[in-house]
Amino acid sequence: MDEHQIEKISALIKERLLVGESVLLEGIGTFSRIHEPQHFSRDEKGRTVAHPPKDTVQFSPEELGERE
Amino acid sequence: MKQLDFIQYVARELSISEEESQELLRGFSVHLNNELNETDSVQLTGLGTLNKDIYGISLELDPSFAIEINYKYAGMQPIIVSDDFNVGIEEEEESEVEVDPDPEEEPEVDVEREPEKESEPEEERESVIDKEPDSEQEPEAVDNTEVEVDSEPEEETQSEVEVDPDPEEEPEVDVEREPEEEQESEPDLDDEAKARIAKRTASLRSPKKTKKSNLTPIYIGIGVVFIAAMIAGWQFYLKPILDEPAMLVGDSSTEPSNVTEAIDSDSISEEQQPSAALDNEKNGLEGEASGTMVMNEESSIISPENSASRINTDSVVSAPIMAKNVAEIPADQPRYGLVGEVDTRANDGYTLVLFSLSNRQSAMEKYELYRSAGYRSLLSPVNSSRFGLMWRVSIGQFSTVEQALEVAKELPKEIIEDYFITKI
Repeated sequence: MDEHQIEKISALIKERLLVGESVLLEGIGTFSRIHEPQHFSRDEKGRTVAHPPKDTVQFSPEELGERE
Repeated sequence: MKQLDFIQYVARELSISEEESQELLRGFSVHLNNELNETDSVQLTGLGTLNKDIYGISLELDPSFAIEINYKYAGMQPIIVSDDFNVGIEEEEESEVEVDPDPEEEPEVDVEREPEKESEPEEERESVIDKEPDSEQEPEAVDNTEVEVDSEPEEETQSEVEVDPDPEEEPEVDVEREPEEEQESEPDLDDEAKARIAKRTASLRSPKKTKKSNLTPIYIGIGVVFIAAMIAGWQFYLKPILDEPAMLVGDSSTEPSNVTEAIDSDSISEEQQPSAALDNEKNGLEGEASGTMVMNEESSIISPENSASRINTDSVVSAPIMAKNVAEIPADQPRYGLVGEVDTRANDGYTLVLFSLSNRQSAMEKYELYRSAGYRSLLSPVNSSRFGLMWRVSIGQFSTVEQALEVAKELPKEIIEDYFITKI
């Protein structure tokens, strides 16, 4: 498999993640978009701080891939 | 998206058959597995890097993709909630009750409550202790940078020191070896030492000259490039963007002067900024207090107290667009609230941002949808340096963050599925 094909597939995975979908790749695992809603924390001065929502991508490997 | 769906998607996008797509993805999986087994790491361009360790395989997201995937939240920064909001945090209720009174009541506790409460001063001390190392670290960091900046002079001094020992070695050798070797070794050592000194001094002097001669044109070049970039940035990026929000709002007859003034002027008054309400009948609103929503990407935390005084053209949220003015607001409508007509006097409060959209038409549709549903609907243009102009749709005008959060809890989940509270 050449670099060009890898880039193409990576770009397609990225596209699906951007629209909010997860991508399952057999033999490897699943790329999932995770949404963290608004949450609160304390700063060092003890004040309550509201944090904006945030999205990230998580990779969950298949058990087969993990064992290898 | 299941494997089969993605196979079909890849086949469609790459204009290949599903069999070919399946084969391609199988090859892709094999390639990833092989790379992970051989090098424990494989890079997926634009997506990130898969890393394999003893805990399994994890994805390190590409920084640009991490920003891209969060485009909706561009410019949103953590916001400090007022201390009277303690009840609102469900998970941290216990710690809040104990910790919250401290920041504001520190001086009072010292004077009045010392005999009654001992735990609070202890917490205060802890916090003080926590802060002290930080304050000490900062000067250290400054010192480090100073050392780095001054590296050139240091090299000079070091080189001088290196040169000096040579002459010092000479007398040592002379003193020690004189009785033993007498006159034979002396001339050899002197010549070698002199030759070394001459070489080192020559090598030390020559780079200095070249450095000095090279720096001036570099500085000039940097200056020219910087000025050109500033001009280009203003002409082709900033100016059109600053002009655009006003053009996009309401009728063509609407003058954008208020918005541009609010953005351009650095000398905006502390809290009562010029109203940028852009409804058709805004003339009647002149003189009304109307805050301008400001978001600063550079600052780590926006404090409610000083956020109104900060303007960063890199991520400016100009005033919300309103379809009604004060004259059409029912007399019995409270100044702050979730439903009813938007009240420009309540623009010094907070709102629940539901959408952040790059498409103006979509934003307008959302805005109209909530407005027709009876909510106080706000539409605010946001200027992001990375993603350009975006439109934030929010509902409600609330005097405090606490009030906004309380109302948000009671809203249907479909509406409030993903929201963030910002200052209007």
